[in-house]
Amino acid sequence: MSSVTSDYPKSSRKPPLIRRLYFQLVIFGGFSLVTAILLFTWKIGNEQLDFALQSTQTQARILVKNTAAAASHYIVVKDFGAVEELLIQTASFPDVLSLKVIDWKGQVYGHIVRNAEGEAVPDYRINNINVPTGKTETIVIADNVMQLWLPIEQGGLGWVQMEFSLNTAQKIQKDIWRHGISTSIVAFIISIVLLIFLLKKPMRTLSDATGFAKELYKNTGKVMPFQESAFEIEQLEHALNYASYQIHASSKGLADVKLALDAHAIVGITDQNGKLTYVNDKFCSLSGYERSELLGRGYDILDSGYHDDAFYKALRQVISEGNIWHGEICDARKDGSLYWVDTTIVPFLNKQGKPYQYVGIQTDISERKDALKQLRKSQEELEEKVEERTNNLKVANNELESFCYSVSHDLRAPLRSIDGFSQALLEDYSDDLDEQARNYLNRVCASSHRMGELIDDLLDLSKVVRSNMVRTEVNLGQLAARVMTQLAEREPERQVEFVCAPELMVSGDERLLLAMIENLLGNAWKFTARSDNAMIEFGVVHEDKRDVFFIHDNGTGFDEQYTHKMFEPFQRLHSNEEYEGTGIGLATVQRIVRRHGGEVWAKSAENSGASIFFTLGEAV
Amino acid sequence: MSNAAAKILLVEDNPDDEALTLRALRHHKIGDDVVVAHDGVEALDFLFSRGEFAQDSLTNMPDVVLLDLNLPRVNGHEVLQAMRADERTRNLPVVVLTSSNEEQDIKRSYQSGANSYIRKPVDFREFTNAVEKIGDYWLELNLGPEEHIN
Repeated sequence: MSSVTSDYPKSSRKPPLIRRLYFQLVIFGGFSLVTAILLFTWKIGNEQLDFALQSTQTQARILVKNTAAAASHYIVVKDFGAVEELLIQTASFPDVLSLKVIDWKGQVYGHIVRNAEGEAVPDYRINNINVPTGKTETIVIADNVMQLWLPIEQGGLGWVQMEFSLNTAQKIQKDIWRHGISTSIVAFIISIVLLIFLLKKPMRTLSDATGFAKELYKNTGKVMPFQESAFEIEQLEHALNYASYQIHASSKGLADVKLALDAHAIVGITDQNGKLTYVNDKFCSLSGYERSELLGRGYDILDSGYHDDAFYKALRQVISEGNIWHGEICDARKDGSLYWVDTTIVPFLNKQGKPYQYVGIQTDISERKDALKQLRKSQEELEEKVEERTNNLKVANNELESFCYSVSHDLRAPLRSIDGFSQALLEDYSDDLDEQARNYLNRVCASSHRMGELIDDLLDLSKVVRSNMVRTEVNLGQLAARVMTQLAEREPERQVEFVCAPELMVSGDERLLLAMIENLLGNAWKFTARSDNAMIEFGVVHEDKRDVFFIHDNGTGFDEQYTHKMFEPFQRLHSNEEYEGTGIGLATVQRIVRRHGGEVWAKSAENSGASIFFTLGEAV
Repeated sequence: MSNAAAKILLVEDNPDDEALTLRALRHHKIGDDVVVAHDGVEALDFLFSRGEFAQDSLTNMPDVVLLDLNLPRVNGHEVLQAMRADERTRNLPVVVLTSSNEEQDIKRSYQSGANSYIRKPVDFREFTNAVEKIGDYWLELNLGPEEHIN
């Protein structure tokens, strides 16, 4: 079977360096460290600069104040040479760039500058400058130079102006930055080296795990070699091995099912265009095609022409909508012979809900179909036969009916003539006849009577067969009681004990059942004529899931070896002198019982009475 | 054949049965009042004064018709239906006297309007007995449609 994974895109491309986790971790770690160091450097640098500026300013102010205090004496005595001397001494501070002593109108008393060699020398080029309007200390910082104005004696004597270099403070800040940057470069390199070293093993394990996971679908329960690594990666390995085990277990289950399916069914898989992508061995052997002949072709290669286009159109409609189709298809083998398959087609849907393949599972039902066809044919033949027989039976029945009618009407008439004219002779000409002649004529009459009885009984028997049956619920006990009453009325001098079960319910035709009971009880009555304490019993026993009725008497009984003859018409086991009868009674009983779907049999021992058993089909 | 004083119309094709019936009736002293028709056509001709009975007066209807069923030409059932279809014979008592005891014959006879159905016994004594009883009943006891109780 083709795998479902073909639907899923595989990733095999190499990502750009920047997208690799290993690279990202290393770069991020290094930059973080560098950023931290630089931030720290910036903070320290600023703090140190502020501190240096503060202390420089303090130094400069003290210097200016001292100079102003000393200069005030020389100004008062107008000793400008001493002022100059003082200024030169003050300017020995290397950071002092220039010094001026000015009166409050702007008249310069002394001016010292630093020349190119760094020596403090007097400068006489400026005589007059603008002074601040207020009488307070003023500080102006510009271009790394701090300019300080300090009034001498609260301004009464003039100003000291000093320009002070701030380069020293700046230099400290620059030094801090330089150290910071060099430290961060070293730290960056060390951190990268360390990270590379640390991450190398987990990354390799991760890469192995990825490779293992990629090939997981074709693993047959393989396990990834366990490598000691970071906890999370170890967990990943465990998880992958577990997944591998599970996939193997479930894919083995699938393979087992496939094996079983292939053993039973014809399996064929087609793509969304209906082209076969897989056929199992059964498919090939049944269709008679080689696998190579089938793959890439559609199912239409098997089209037998049995089904019309609408059939296939409806089928395609069902499966293309993602529904399962089930039905029976007649296909053609390569050699052109036909076979039937019970077919289920299951569409498999992609994420968009569109079928991407169809799996067809089929079972060869040709034999079943043939058997069904055969069965149907036999059934039809049987029905024809039944109809034919029924018609024959109808014809036979009609013939029987007209025959019986003739018997009833035409056969009796001559008998009546025989009897009538014999009687007429006996009555009208008795004087002319001797004893012997009268005896003969009496015999003629007796025979014609008997013939009349035989004809009547035979007609009764035929009526049993011909009459329509109307089934109702009948209580045989009631019928029996009625018959016994009639018998007792006919021969009131006889004493017969009658034992009958109270309820003997059956389903049957009341008229026929009455005729049956009449015959059976009539027999019992007749054959107990010579018994002392004559007794007749009518009852039922439940045997083999059916009701078996019995009529037992303690009369003459019969010889059991003739039992089979008892139920044939005109068969008698006793002479007419012993017991009267035509031999039709039990034949009638048997026909009535058979018409009810039952059976009748007899048991006896001579001189110990007779028992007639009968059933009437299913128990009520 | 004359119907001058006929009280019974016997429709019977079998000459033996005819002879035996007539003998029984004669024994009962009513043999002279019998007219015999040997088939259905004859019976209807007699009743409706047609054919050989064309000269007879219609007013002389018998008191009872003894009708066999199995008759040549027109059978007993057809005779009965023809009688019941005609105003003149609609109410005339008809006793079916036949050898048949087939259920269908009995049923059909009564449906066609028979007043009685008697099966001819084979036993001659019983047969004689039956004929005498028929005579007694229909000629003596029974009041016909034309008679009035005074």
